[in-house]
Order: sequence, then structure tokens, then C-alpha cells
Amino acid sequence: METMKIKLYVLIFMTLFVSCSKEEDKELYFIGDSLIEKWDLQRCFPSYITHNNGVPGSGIKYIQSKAGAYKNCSVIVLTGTNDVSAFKNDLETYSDKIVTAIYELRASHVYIISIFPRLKNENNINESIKLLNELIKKKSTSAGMIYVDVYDDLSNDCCLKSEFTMDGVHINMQGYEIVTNKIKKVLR
Amino acid sequence: MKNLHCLIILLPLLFVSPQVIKGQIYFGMRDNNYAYCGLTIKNKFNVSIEHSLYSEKMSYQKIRLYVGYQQNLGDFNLKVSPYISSVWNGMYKDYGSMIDCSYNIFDFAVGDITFNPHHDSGFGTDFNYMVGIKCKVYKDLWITSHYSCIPEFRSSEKRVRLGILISVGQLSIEPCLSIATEGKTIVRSFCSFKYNFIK
Repeated sequence: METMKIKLYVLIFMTLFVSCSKEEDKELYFIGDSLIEKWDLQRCFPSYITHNNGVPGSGIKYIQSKAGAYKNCSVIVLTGTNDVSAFKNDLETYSDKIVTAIYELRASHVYIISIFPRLKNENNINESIKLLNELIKKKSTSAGMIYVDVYDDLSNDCCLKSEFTMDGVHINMQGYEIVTNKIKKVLR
Repeated sequence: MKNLHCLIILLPLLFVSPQVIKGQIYFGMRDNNYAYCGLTIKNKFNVSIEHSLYSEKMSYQKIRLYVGYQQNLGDFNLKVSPYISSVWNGMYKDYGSMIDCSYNIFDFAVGDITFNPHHDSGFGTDFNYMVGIKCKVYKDLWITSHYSCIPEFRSSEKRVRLGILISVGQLSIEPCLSIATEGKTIVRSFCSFKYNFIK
């Protein structure tokens, strides 16, 4: 009886192990600024092959410099926070530039993450970020990209929730988990 | 075809006799992310199953089977554990072996080196290793220090792992910090434990 039980368990395990459906291996390229660079991608996406191409302090010029570099890849982009102050008075043009630069990466699947709010709303920076996010969302979705909105998840009424940050700009592991879960819901 | 290979490898388990249950059963968790249980027979042979605890859907969880052999030669210990693993949705598979050699340098210090030839269906073949030492500080309290490129998740990274190992009866607990030594300086905190159920 005992032998039968053990063999039955082993058989169930083997059946599950070998009958699993075959899904294609997924490779993800993350591109953007320090918010990408500080992301522990292996921990957050343990089943995927991930590439962290985040460059601290980078902005639109970095994305533009990568034109054509991600042909047929799945790319996740998070950029804009370093440029938003400089383009504060011309967000319409900046959003055009950013969506064009991302389109020029020539990736097969593009996921754009909304720019995170800041802890301190100096010079109404968060209003500018919110407006820029709206513009990027409108333009990117009409260009067939997937927009991942995490702004409201990370903010209270106006600013970045203090439990998600140490320095007011970069988010901690808890914040990254929220962003990760949002992305996993839309990954294909 | 790959599924057939898995079946062939796992087939001998069908002939497991209930007598082997008389060995030492253990369970535990490795690096927060992998729960395991296993059986050691006559202090030599070892079979264990490890399952991931990623914050992912079940289809993206990984299951790994180890079949091992260990030998104690005085102060020198050798353990060889081939393994095969797969994500439940079949997205990728890997296989390889952990070849662990440890040596009791003094009563209070153990040096160890692990070789890990590893093949991942997405990354290809890597030859990883871990080298380190653990020193007894007080009774059952040890400090551990390792340099490793054995994957903590899927791809190989060069990291320093610093931790403490506490043994209380049949339970051992090892909290540690894993610090990347190149590229992005990402620090991970892990905790592992192991409990020997039957002695």
C-alpha cells in the first residue's frame, strides 16, 4: 500500500513535470535613467532574461542615441524625470520627442512606464510630471505602444509616498514591487 | 524530445522503495526564494526537490530535482549533486551539477569551494563557482564569507556573500547579505534555513 502511494506521488509529479505547455523564453530590455539602473531586475523578473540598460542622469538624448538598436526586442522604457524641469514650458514638444525616440528604437513590443512623482513638489514639478505623463500616454498608445501607469500607485494626492523612497526621487524595493506587478500584468 | 529526456531521468524514481524513507528527512528554504525538502540515505545518497517562491504566477515558478552523493574523508568532504529544473510553463529549463568540496582547516574554520557547470536553455552553458570560508565565533555561531558567480536567480553575477550561520539542535539558520562586485551595486538580503526532521 505504502509503495503504491509513493509511486502514485512520483507519477503525478512526473506527469506534471513533463506535460507542461511550452512557452517561449522571454528576453526583456530595460532602458532609461537611474530608476532603471537601480532596479534589481533578476529579483523582480526571475524567470526572464533581463538586460539592464539604465544610465544614471540620462534623458531623451540617450534614448535618441539608441535608434534602431532594439530591433525585434521587447523593451521597457522609463525616462523623463531628468528632463522634465528643462522642458517644463514646452511639454508638448518634449512628449513628441520622447515618443518618437522610443518609436525609433524599432522594438517589437514597447512598454512605457509613467514618470514617477517626486517626494517634494518643488516648483510644482509633480504637476508638470502629471501633464507630461498624460501627453506621453495619449501619443504612445496611439502609436501602438503599451503605457504602464504607476503614477497613482506611487503617489498620495500630490507627491511620491514617503514609504517608497529614501531620497525623494528614487524608489525602494517596495516601490519596485508595485511597478513590477503592473508590468507583469501587461507583458506578452 | 526534451520532455522525453526528463521522463527518462525521472523514471528511476518510480522504483523507489519505501525502505528508503528510513533515511534522514530534511526541509528548508534557500535564499528566501526556494523551498526544499529532501532525503539523505546512509549519510551518502541524497534526493531533494526544490520549488521557487517567486512573487509570480504558478506557471512561472521553477521546480528543481537534485540527486546527490556525498563522501566524508576525514577533514575533507565531497558532495556531488546533479540537478535538472524547469519552469512549470516550460519557458526554460536548466541542468547542471553542484560539486562541493570542503576542508576543515582548523577546528574553528572550514574552507569550501563549489564548482557549478550549468546549462540554461536561454543562456547556454556556464562554468560557475563559489569559494569561501566559514569561521566559528562562539559555540554554534559561525560567520560566513563567500565569493560566488553561481546564479541566485537565473543569470550568473559576481557577488560577495557575507552572513552568519546559527545552529540550534536540528535547525540551522543563515541570514546573509549578497553584494554585487561589478556593474550595478545591488545589495540583496537573504535568509536560509534547514531543519533535519529525523535523525
